Amino acid sequence: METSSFIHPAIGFLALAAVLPFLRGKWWNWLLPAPAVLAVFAVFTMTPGDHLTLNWLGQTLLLGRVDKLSLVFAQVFAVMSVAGMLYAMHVKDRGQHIAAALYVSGGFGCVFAGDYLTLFVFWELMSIGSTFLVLLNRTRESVLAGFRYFLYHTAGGLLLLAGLLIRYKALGTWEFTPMAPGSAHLYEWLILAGFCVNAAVVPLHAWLPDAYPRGTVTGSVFMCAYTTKTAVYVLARGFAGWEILAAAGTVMAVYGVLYACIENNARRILSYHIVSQVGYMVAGIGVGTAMTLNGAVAHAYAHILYKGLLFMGTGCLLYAAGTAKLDKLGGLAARLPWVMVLYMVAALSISGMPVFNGFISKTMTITGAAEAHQTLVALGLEIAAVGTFISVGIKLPYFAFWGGKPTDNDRVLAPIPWNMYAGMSVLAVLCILQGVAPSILYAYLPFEVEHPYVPWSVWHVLQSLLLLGFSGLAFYLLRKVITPHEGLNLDVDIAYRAVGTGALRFVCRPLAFLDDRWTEAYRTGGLRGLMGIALGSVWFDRRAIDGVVDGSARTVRGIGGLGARTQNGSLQDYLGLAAFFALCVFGLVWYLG
Amino acid sequence: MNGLGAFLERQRELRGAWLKALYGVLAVLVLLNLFVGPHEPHFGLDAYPGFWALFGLVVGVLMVVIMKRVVQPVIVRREDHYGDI
Amino acid sequence: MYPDIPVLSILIFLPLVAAALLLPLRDDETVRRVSLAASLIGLAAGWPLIAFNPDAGFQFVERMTWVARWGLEYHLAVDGISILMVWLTLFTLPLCVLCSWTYIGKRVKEFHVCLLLMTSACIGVFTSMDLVLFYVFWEAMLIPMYLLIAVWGGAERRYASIKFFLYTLAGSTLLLVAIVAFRIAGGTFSIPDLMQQTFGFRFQYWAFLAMALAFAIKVPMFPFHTWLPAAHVQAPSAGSVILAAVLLKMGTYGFLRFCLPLTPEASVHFAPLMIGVSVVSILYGGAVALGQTDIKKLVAYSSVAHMGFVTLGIFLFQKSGVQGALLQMLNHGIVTGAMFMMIGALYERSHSREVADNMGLGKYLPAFMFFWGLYALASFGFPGTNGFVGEVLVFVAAFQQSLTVGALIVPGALLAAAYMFRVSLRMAWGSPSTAKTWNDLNCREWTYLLLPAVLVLWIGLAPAPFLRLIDPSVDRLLADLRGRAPVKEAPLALNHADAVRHEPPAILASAAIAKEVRQ
Repeated sequence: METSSFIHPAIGFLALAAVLPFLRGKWWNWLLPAPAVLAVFAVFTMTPGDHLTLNWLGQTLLLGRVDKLSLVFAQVFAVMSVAGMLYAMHVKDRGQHIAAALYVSGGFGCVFAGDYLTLFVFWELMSIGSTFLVLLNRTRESVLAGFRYFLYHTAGGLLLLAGLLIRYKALGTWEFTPMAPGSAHLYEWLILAGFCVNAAVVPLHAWLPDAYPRGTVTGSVFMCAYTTKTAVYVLARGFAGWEILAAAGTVMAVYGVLYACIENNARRILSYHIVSQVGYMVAGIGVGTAMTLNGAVAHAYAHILYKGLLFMGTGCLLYAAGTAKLDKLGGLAARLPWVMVLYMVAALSISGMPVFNGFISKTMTITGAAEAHQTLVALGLEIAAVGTFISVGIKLPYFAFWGGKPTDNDRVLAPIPWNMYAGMSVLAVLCILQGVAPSILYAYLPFEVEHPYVPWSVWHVLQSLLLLGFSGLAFYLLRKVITPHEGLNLDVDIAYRAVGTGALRFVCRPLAFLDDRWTEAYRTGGLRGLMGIALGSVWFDRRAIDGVVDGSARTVRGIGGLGARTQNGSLQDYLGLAAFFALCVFGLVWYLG
Repeated sequence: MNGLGAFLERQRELRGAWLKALYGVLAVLVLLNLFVGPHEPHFGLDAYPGFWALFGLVVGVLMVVIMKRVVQPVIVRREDHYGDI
Repeated sequence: MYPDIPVLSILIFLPLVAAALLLPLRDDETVRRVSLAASLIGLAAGWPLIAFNPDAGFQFVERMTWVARWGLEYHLAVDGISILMVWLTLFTLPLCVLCSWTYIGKRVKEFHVCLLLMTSACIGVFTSMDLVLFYVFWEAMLIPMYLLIAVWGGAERRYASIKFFLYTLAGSTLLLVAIVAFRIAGGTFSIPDLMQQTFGFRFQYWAFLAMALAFAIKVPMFPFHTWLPAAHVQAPSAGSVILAAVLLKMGTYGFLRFCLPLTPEASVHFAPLMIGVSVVSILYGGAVALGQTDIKKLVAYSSVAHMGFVTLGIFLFQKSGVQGALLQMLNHGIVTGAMFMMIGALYERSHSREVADNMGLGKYLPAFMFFWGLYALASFGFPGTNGFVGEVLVFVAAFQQSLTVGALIVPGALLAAAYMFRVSLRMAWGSPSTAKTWNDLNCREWTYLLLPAVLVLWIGLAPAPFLRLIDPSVDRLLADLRGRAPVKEAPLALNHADAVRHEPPAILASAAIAKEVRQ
């Protein structure tokens, strides 16, 4: 018996956001994972098809398009939300939870959107939710970063809006369908640009390393999962096979790890890594064969899990030690051993070490690219793999937990609450599970391939171990060179910061100044002119007409004088006089009419 | 410091032994590579044994050296360069 | 339902009666209460308007000869275009009274009399169907507004009030000229009758210019906007509210009621100019707002930008554009009115309108910041709020008509986000916080902020009822315009019919995705 079932996973989160400000008592934190659990339930019970059509402004909106592609993303979003909410349970600031809930519901909304209007609405919801996750860190740095983040994402959203409006005019439909690769329509480029902003495609990526390290401890965990992966989803849905994405993805993959090698802030290293890992996905989408698309999706799934865990681990460091800067950390392995272990699970996953889930997902994309004869792409992605292991797999944990320093028993560490460990454990278990039993992930991949990808072959394992082992050796040999130092590495954001401050300094402030002067022009030019005419009239009246009609001129002056005397500043008199005059005029008119 | 922490602390002293173990594993892997190869080489070159080992080592070294020694000195600024902090 | 009750006249004269009742009162508190009661009664008196039938043209008609010799009539009616404005005016009055409760301390009686007179005049403006009657109400609104600024305003109130008065009066004089011209050319002052007539192009040309200038000053459109910042900054809180919420709409209402139906060919002829000026208003208003440190001035310039969207929507002559324009008129009234009320509440605490004196409110006044955040989101058109609905409709029309126009106004939306967010951030988290000793919203403030908030969300999420009210009138207006003037049709949709049928690459159309290709 086929019953159609669809509960939109966003509902629980929207309800949480609405209800949170009003909850009283000590136990409200326990409510936080509830919508996440509900979302998991919803995802596993929903049936494919089109659900939840809505009529709005005369347009038909589709809120619940369920097929394998949206289902797999929704599934990992749901799983991640459980871990994330668990991890964030200890936070007392309700604003952060509300922001996270809105953000996550935006993610679900985008994944299930069947038309561009719905997509846009949830896209903007995600944008504002994540902005607050940065702002609510409440330091000057974070507030400024949040402002820049918001403006940037609004601009990206407007590109998307322009694109979808022009598309509506061209095609007459809002439907979110794939676009043929190789098209040259303006609206397709605009929509692509809007998506690429969220996907952090180089050179539109600078918002990521700017904002994510400055978000709250728990907020960045959410952010690393949803914004970019939603962008990956929409790219997979709409732009599969667009070759420019293959090139862009490869560039992203390498660019990200290059910066990660020289960064000092642990969360910024991870942020650049997001750029790199998403590059794998974007490249896979760009190549566009079934295997690479599957690889991109599998990678997205695995990435959410291990990247979330990575941010959780460094979040714990930030929480306990008060800083995420590698040059200030070190010697903590013995004091935070479980954080280190859980972090390493994620680190090895991201590097593609066998037994962990990165191994079963990353290599699929690379193999697929090679099989499609995209040699440069495959090469670039392998280079990025080396860099990934070096920077995130070894450099970060090495300098955070050891750093060549003895165990730091003097540093005061804030005790890490149990729920943070719980959240991390959930993700770590899944990383390992997927790594040893890849079919639990592969079962959900949406595209059918000619021959299934088998990751656990002797060669694949050997190749991975070789690559990683010798990259590790490279690190060991250069461990004194790669030591992180404090400093800001310039990135492309110098360009758009310049635009922002430039616009303010050279356009807005001068315009405001000019407008004030122009306003004064009324007083100097207009009013004086008017007064000049008035005085001229008075002179004319006195000299010219007076000379001709003596008595009437004086009479006019006399009435004017009388008028002046009634200007005694008394308001009641003014009103009374006005009413009296109005009545007189009205009566006169009526009488004459 | 709990049990795991104490264990890790002890391993610091055994640093040398761990390093030797690493070298050993790497050597074994290269040896295996002589016998096990890809059935479908990606680049042609990677059919040769030791390719991936060399690739990992060379790319890793080049990446770190170029980025840390060449690129970073050019693009690095003070932490507070933009006046954010 | 109530065929014989002269609803509109009651709505106009009720505030006058209330004003007369206020005159003998001595005690300030009683004055406020009576005024509030009168405003609520006035709102209730609008109940029969619920029976408004959107399809049926002018309704609630009242027609009486006024001065037979000159053909003046006392002629009132509402249609889809004016009904929203009437409701807006009715709702604004109680809110103004509530927000002035503790704000105004001297001459309280006269203040409320002015508010009541203004309301009466405003309803008269929106419902008049006789040109001279319209003009009388239009002018009648000037003196109370002048007094509101001049007596209860800020430090430079003399300057701002006179400027407002003379600027508007100058424009209105031209309007009077146009009205007389219509009488001479058309033989009647009655608007519905004039709408049936056709005038020569030369006549329309000059009549349009005269009327457009008057309305453009009122809207305000660049470069006639300079009275607005001064007036807003110097006006007391309730004065700003009624100015922004209701008075500015008279200008755009004038365009819709007079320029388009009475001078259609001239409207089409001047449309490119009006569109250009609207785009400039949007961008200029946004850019100047971004450079402001005075919160009230910032919101004033944002009004210039918002009204730019409205006039743009009108002169694109597309259905969604006019719908968007009308909705924006309503939305702007709600949102900007609410923002000025909040600025007034803030001023009562800090006695300053500068951002620097109103920082760090997030911690001490969370409810306040919540409402401010909501209205800020609505102001720049965040999805889910009413601003988004109006804005997206205007955007659709813009892109339908011309890619260039659409491309030019997109930065306007970005500017709106930028200045709103910037000032909101500083207000919420700027340090050092100036709000340490301030109280959060009290009961009265909750009341007058809750209603607009509900409307923001209602119109944003379920705009259908509001669109239902205005659609038939908009259709009639545009059909009439198209029938009488050569409106340039939007360029045909690019022939991308094949793209709609685009088959996804073979690898995607696999059984793995359980989805049927929809036709």
